[in-house]
Amino acid sequence: MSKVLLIEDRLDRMNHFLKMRNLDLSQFDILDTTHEANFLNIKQQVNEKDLQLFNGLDVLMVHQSAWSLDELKIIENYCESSQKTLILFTGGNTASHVSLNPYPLLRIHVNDFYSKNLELYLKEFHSTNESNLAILQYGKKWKLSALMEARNNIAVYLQRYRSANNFEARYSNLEIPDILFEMEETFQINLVWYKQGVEQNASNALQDTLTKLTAAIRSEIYQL
Amino acid sequence: MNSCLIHSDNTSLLELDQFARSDIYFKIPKNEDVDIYMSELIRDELNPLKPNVIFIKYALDHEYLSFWGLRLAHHIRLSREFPSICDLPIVFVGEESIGELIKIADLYHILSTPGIYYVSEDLLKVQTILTNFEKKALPGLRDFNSYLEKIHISPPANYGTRHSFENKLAIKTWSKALGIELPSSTIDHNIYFKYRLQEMTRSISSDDSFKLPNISSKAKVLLIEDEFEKGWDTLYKTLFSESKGITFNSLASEFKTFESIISDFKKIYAKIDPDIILLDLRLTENDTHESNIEEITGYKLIKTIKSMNPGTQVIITTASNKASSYQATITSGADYFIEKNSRSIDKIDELVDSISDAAKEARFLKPFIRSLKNLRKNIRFKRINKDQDEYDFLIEQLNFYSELAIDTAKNKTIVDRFSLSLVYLYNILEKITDYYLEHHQKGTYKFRNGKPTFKFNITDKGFKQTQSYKHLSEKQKFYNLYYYLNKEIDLEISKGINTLFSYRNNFLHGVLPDNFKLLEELYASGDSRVFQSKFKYYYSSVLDFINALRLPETKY
Repeated sequence: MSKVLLIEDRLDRMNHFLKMRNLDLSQFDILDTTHEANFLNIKQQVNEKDLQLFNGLDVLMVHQSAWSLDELKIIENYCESSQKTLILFTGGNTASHVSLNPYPLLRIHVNDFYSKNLELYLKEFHSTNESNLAILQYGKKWKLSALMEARNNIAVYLQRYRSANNFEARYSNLEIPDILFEMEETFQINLVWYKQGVEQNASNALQDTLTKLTAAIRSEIYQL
Repeated sequence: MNSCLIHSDNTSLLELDQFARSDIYFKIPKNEDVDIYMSELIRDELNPLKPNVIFIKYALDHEYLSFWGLRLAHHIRLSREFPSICDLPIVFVGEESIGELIKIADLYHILSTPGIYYVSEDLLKVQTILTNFEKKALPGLRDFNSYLEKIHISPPANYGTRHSFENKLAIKTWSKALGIELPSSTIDHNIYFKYRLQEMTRSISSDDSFKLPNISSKAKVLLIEDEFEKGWDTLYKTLFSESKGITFNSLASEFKTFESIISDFKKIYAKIDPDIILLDLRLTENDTHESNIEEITGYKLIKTIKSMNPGTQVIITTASNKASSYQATITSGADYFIEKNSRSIDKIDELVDSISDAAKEARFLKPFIRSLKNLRKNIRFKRINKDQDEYDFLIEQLNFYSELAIDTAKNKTIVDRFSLSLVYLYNILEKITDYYLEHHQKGTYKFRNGKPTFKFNITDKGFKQTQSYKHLSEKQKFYNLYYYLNKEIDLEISKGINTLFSYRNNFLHGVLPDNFKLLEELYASGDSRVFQSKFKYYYSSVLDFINALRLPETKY
């Protein structure tokens, strides 16, 4: 059953990108793509604020310029209330940008959207049943995002509270991206100290994790 | 010392007193364009703080691989409208190494430019660097060019967007040179646009005001440009404001399809009969995806324009700098090619020169070509015999030499194009006499139906004819032809033919009498009125003569 709906009004452009980049979206049964007739039908239903047709979906991929501001607002409100992921692609001159609150929203340039990253994203979605926008945004580099964020957060934590000599007290201030826990084995990063709670003498464990994160980052970079 | 810190609550530097009252929290609103947000942050938050040094996290808004910090720093450097902050020292903060950034950050080039420093999340090192700033030991950017020369910001990958950018950059650059203030638009905030604009205009000083040209020629100019309402119309009107002889119009069209543009173009063409067309190549949405130049609307329009009157001058004004575009458009008939997005504002001078030149060309070419086309329309002559092939060959020759006369007159690479063009027109007269007259005996001529020829004595008061048994000169052949078909001699037309006859002989034999000037000399002398009237007199002599020979019902 389709989990992702790609609503495209400019099919010529889409086919141009797919052909040019050798992309085959038909291999993903989780993806449904609109054609001209049902695009107009969807537009009508959006205008009537009848969005039941989106109910079984997890992700909406929408060509931003095909909609008026009012129509976009209706779609955005729907995604917010139902916590669905919205991907707005546009041929304008905007840089890609993701925001996760109050609902997952990725604004992305059409040129970056119709790319191998889209296939990677759909493959991942197909196997995990989860939408990982970082894959669509960054492609093969996506893991670096989590690794770098974790490295930064630990470094900041160490600096902030080193003088206080009481890590435990501020433990709630340290954020580790959830996805990093799935990478523990791949990168041999031991996050037990975090899961069990930071202890008084956790400085060494934090420092060790920092070193391993940097090694993992370098390893990932050199594989690009 | 006022140190400003731009962060997303992701740095230990917030622990330091130096940033207690001068930090800016970076968070891109959900539906905001990244570049617009950054531009507004600089204008509304950073500039009012009046800092002496700016600390920026590499990663902002928790998007670690976007490295918004690098992008923001570029925005600061490129915001020349804020002179108190654009050249300040910038310190990047983060755990990222330079080696990592070079591998994964698109905008890393700024790291090697003067006035840039880096520090990790190490408060002792930060304190040291702050002390150095207190001592004014670490300077900011002293020479903007040293920044511009080291950085590179990639253009939009999408050709359509890139082309649109280049077009808008050209408007901005040219309007700056002409001192025109255009209303701002969202594209002004785009980082690539800012970068290219600075790159293109850095050589234009505010003191270098461009003197509006006074183009002395008369010409009706039509602009065909899909973005005419986004500045080009205003820009050209300003450019021609001192040139009283230039009438300027823009084609009003929705620029949706080739067919709709052609339809709108034909309407305005019929109304104003333009001499010069300023033509952009990419005019429709589909053009932006088209890589085959022959399928591009502007390219196809060249052929339409030239089929209507090849004398109408086409100046391609395009944001494309592809050599292939130049070659293809010139081959298909365009007369001039101006690259709008050139870094140099010399292109405006080049455009003005092209318009002056094109006005001069159109002034004589358009009526010349129109006259020849009118002449050929439905042309029929009285037949000398029943041989269809001979008659068809005559019409074929007439068409061939008139086309050759047109092609030659408009080909600027032929040194003696006007004189040669007249020779080809003269050839038409020879072909007509060859059709009607034949060599008889002992140098005499007869009409091919057996009718006799005469010797004409022409004066200002009239003409006399006597039976001729002698060799007929070329002029006498023409008189005979005229008399045979009209039963009279037109003194004005005869005079014109005589003048052309003399011109042709002088040109071909290279013996030029005193005070005689070839048309090419007159054209080059710059007095276009004398040239135009002479050229028109010569070609009209031929055309009036031929017109008088055709069957009465086909005369125009």
